[in-house]
Amino acid sequence: MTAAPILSVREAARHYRSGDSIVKALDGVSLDVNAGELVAILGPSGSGKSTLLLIAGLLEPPTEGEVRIRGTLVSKAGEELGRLRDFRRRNIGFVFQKANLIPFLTASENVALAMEIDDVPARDARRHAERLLAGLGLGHRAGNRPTKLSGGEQQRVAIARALANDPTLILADEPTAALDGARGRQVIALFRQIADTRGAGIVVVTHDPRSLDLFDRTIELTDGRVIGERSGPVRIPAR
Amino acid sequence: MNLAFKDVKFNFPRFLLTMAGVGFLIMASTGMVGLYRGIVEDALLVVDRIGADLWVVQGGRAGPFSESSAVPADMDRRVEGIAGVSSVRRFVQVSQQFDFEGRDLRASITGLDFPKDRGEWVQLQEGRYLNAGHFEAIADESIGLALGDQVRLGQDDYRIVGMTRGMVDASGDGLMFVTVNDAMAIARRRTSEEVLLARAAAGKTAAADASESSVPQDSKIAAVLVTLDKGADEDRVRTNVLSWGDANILSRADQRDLLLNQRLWRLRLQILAFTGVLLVVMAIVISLIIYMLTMEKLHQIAMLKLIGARNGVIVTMIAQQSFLIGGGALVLGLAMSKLVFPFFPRRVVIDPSDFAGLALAVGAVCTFASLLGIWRALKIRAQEVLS
Ligand SMILES: Nc1ncnc2c1ncn2[C@@H]1O[C@H](COP(=O)(O)OP(=O)(O)O)[C@@H](O)[C@H]1O
Ligand SMILES: [Mg+2]
Repeated sequence: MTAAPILSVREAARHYRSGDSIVKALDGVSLDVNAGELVAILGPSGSGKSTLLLIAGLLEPPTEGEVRIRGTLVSKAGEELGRLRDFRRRNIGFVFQKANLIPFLTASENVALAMEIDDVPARDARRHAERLLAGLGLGHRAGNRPTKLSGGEQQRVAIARALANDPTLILADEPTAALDGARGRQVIALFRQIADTRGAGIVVVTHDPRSLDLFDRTIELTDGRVIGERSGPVRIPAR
Repeated sequence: MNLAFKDVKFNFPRFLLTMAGVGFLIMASTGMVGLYRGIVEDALLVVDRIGADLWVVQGGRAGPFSESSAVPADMDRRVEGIAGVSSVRRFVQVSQQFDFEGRDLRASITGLDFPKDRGEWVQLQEGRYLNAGHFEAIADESIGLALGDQVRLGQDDYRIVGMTRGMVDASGDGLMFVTVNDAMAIARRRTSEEVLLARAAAGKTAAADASESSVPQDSKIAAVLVTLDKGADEDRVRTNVLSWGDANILSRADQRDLLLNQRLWRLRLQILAFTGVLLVVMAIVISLIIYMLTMEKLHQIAMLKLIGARNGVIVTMIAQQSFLIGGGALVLGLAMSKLVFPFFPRRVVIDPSDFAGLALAVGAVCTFASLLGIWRALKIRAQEVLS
């Protein structure tokens, strides 16, 4: 095991000033994610999970610490991240609680857009988008606009969009929060499959303990610190 | 894929309404400018078309459009004798209100010096020019008469033998051309009471001059139109006429200047001021609409940034949408103007260069508004998707 991890966050801290006091949203967190690994981040509300994802996703610089992607130092304290948009587009896929699809585009257009803005020719982008959607069981929905899709379907379109440019790292912030248990598990299962087949490193913030058996590793945050880390899937005891 | 176009297609009725709204504003501005142009064109119509180099009018006055003017009916003979004068015509114009088949109509009766002038400088829509010295008229459509109508003016019936379109005087009344002699007779119309009083004042009995003019003033004309010989010295003619003491002489340029800068300047200023107000309103409304369209999409724009779209993608979407609205509204505004303004009571001139100017202004407003939207859109951070 000599290959650098896909994502490596070192001693990352993020402080927000609110009035006179300073909120330590993140207080020295380290996290490594390897190719093909599916990692869960757990923790109560306000524990810094989203902040960690923003920093790992190069959307915010840490106040302290650094972020490496495949061994390259890409973000550290005080970094101006606007210039990393191209890097983000090619290397990182995001999924959020809300699908945030563009309402005037169909499912396949939403996915194809992510490729077109990366200069993939329109026709190739469309074909690949349809293939991705079909792979996620949405082939018959490719031509529908978001308002015609259920919440679970919208979220799967968002996942297809995150996959569009074949990123090595996928970050998902509570992607199942708006879904019922069964559909939530379907989404996590999808991530499991993506990690296995594509070898992407995937970090998922989740509250749902029922799907934890699908993860390779679980990290628990409280007050901006890692308070627990468990390796290996949490097996649900066989009946 | 073209995001701006997809959005327009998705929200088509809304876009159409927005475009129509802006289109109506553009139409209103076009109309205002066109009204201004129309008033100027109408006012200058006779001066520009009648083909007179000089106007001999009442002494000390700047008639016959800016002020009233009355010169003796035989003044033309005197003018004709001046060296350099090629031809002369007598000119009379009176506003007349009359009854036709129970309708109250208005016309600006304009005398043509028949047979020298049968109205050939007037563009006919249908019918013919004047053929007889009496009781024939060429009428403008706007008066409300039709070819062949018999209309009573003064003591006589006149037959409409020709029709014009868009020939009006400075106040918008349609022109009706009759011979100068007829025009003088129409102007002379008096109640029998007035006729008697006037005659008494003149110290004559009704019986004594049944055939003469009732009042000397009534047998005057408004002006004498002068056409100069080629190469004639205009100043010599001018000095000559002025030396008589009872006449003033004005060039075509003088008449234009008097009409635009004396008689009509308040109206012109008023319309120009309103046009200015309207243009400002238009600019503000278009900017707001385009800016709001961008504001509505900020969330999607943040999402685009999050998935790594370059600024160019966002800028293009905003600018294209802005110009789609601006361009569509211009087309709509022009189409509606062409459709609707011909039915307006006064002439609305849609001058191509005016409209091009308006289009340029709309383009500038769209540019400004999209820059404002782009500035706001580029400021938004990708992570705002999450809030
Ligand atoms: N932009 C911000 N400004 C100020 N405080 C923030 C900001 N973002 C997050 N915080 C604070 O940081 C802490 C961690 O937030 P977050 O990472 O969103 O937690 P979680 O996702 O685990 O619920 C919270 O106390 C939150 O109020
Ligand atoms: Mg959160």
